[in-house]
Amino acid sequence: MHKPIKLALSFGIAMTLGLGAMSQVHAIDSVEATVDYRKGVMRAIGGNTAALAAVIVDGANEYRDNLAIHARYIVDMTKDIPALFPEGSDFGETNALPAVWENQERYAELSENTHKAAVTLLEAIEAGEQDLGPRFRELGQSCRACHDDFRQSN
Amino acid sequence: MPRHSSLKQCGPLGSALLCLWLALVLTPAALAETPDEELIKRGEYNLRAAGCISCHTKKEDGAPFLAGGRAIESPFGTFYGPNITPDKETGIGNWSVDDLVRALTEGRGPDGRHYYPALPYTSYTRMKREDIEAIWAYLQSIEPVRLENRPHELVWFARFRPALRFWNVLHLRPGEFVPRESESDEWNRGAYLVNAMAHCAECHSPRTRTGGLDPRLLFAGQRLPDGGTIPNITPDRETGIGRWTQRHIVRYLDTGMDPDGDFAGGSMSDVIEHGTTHLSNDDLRAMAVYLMSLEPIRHDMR
Repeated sequence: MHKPIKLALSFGIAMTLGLGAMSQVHAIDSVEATVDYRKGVMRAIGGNTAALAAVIVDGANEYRDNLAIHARYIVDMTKDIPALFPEGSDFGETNALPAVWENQERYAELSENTHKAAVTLLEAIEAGEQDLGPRFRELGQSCRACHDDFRQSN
Repeated sequence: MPRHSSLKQCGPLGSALLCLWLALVLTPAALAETPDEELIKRGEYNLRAAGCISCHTKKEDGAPFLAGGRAIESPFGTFYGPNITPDKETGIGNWSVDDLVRALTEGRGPDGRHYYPALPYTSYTRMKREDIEAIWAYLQSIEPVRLENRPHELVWFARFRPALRFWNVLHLRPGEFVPRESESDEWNRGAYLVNAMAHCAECHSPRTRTGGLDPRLLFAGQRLPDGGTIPNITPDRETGIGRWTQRHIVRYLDTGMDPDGDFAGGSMSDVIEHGTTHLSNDDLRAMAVYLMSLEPIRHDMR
């Protein structure tokens, strides 16, 4: 084979491999970002839930006017929890168990229960109900039910 | 109505004596047949505090209550919680209250055979007899369910039950909880609930090679064979719950929510749902007081 052709061929192979590796790195980065986003949303749901508990359970009543803000965030972000767990995102530093992807129907059902519990709590807040404890408990129970089988115990 | 006529003939003194006789003769039998509602209620409370439901009710929707079948994974194989409903064939319908006391405090069945320490009798041995009697009254009151016990699936060396006699020599220290006079009533109640009833250390402590609790790391958490972890619940600020307040612990045991707003899952979720959420606030506070008084142990489970 002529030297220039050999060089061109080597350059082509190197470029192809390089681009392939780069796109693979990009894909990994993208999945990691997906996992980061999911974890951020879950932490934010936790933060808003903790804020709700401080008022509803422990009586930080000076923040009672903020209850709807916290509950609405949870309502919005639980509309489609399975969308936070796309195929291939069972990757890296995640506490999600394989059951999330293996038993999607049950996972979707439990996620829907959490969304409904959050909607019920928000409606009770907006209706001015004073005793929100039972509604908050229902929301907590729905979270626990999902964590039971779909998240690594810790 | 001949019986009425004869009563009338006895006169007031006769009636009074008859009532006294009836009270003396019939009351014990009546009590045995229909245990006091208050006792049954207390029994259910104790049963929940002792975490019985989590192991004795299968984990599936509509599973028969306390009829067994729950799989309990361990390094020695899988144990299956037995049926403790009062069914005479498959449950504990033929047991006496003394049989239950012996099972919980000595780890022995009515026939004398040793139970595996998957039944946490090394903790239950601290329970007061009166608390076990209340549990007995409650267990007698629930619906009997006919459901055969599923045999345990254990590694070969764990199948030889008589060896448990030696295990007990190493790890069983029988005897009721003795309150510490130097501590408050609340602390003592918490110590009793955490150690004798809820048997928290059984899961929250690593085990030695012989399967006993590691005395140097009590309550300091452990790693599970499946890769999961059980957290350190000593008040170490970095690796335990040293940054939690009493209020946080009470709220966690009541709702399952930690200070970050995250909710418990797995077996702790069961413990909360069937157990601690049903306890009074006073008892939850007592448990928190006791847990916060433990020696902090640095043992990272993350």
